[in-house]
Amino acid sequence: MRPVTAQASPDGEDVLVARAARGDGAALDELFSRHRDHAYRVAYRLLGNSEDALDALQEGFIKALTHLHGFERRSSFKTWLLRVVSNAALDLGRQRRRRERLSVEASNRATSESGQTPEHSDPCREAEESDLRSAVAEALMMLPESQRRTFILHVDGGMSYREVADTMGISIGTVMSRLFYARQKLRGILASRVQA
Amino acid sequence: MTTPRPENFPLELLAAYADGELSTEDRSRVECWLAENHEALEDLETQEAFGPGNVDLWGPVSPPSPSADDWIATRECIGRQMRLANRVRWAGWAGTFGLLATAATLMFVLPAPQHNCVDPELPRDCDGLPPGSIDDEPYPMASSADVRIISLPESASGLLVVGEHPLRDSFLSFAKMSEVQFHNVGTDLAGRFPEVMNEAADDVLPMLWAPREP
Repeated sequence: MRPVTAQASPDGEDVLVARAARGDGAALDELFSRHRDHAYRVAYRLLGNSEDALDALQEGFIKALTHLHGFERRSSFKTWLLRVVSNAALDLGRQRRRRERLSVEASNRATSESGQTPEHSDPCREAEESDLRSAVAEALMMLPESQRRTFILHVDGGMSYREVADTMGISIGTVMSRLFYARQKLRGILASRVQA
Repeated sequence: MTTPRPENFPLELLAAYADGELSTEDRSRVECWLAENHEALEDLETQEAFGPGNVDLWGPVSPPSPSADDWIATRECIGRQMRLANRVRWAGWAGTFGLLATAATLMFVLPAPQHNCVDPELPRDCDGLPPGSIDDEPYPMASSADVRIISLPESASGLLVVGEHPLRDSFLSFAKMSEVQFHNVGTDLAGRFPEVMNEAADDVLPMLWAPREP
């Protein structure tokens, strides 16, 4: 198995991607560990539960690597991957619309199933955070899809305006505009919950 | 509440200002404007409050992390699907290559078919074509303006590129991507791979890119 450490720099990512697409397990490991967190966070915010988010992440990775002809390499693989993952998440969300009402429960259940416990053990604070998470999730769902996706790619995908623009095929001015109005709406919805 | 849109100042700039996405010049412009428009500070605070930098908001509501087992299972599933996709692709290409090899063998073994269309009494298949047009007229070939290159590595000299069939809307068709098998595709000196289609696309075919004469 060829080493991947030599290709670990972003400059070598094209080679890494090509190797992963040909079935190189080490290259896939490296790509997966590099991008899984951002991809998962984006999928989770779009879907509202961990199980669906992992499904979308899985589907997105496979599609991103098997449809490389759509990746024009004008931007990074992360941009391409998050585009495919967010598309997969939105498709999955449409298919599983009925789950949206249960997303709050699913979110809470996922926390307990994952075994991840917050560093603090204050039940009141845990309840507050769970409540706030639900409120944020519901508020995001009230945004138009284009605004929601733009907002999530920026906040949870850790993308710059340029990267969001490349991912969605829109101008930076449109990214700016969508983010501005998304935040104004979120403030209106969450005014009582968030101190501006 | 959004501040009424001022003349000649796009409020959307406040989002980019809050996110640190503006140039120094644009930041100065926004700051000058804010100094004279205090009512817009509330909008700026909103942009900052819901920006990615507000860890007090986004920290507690972060998506719950999947367990280590979930990550492993997801990674393994992706690996399995990729191996399956590669096997299917190579099996398809191998089968196609076998068919092409058989067809090529038959072309050499069987006698060449007679051309019937040179007769003024054209058979039904040639209706609409002028007498003698079959095999006599040159096929129209694409000019460089007709070719859409889909993928071209930066240092493409001598490498394979993939393009769109220049005559795909016409009657002439050489081959589809699914009918071609790559025997050897390598990197250039910089270690980069040319784009090679992973899945058969009916209207896309590979093209060979030859170095231009000096």
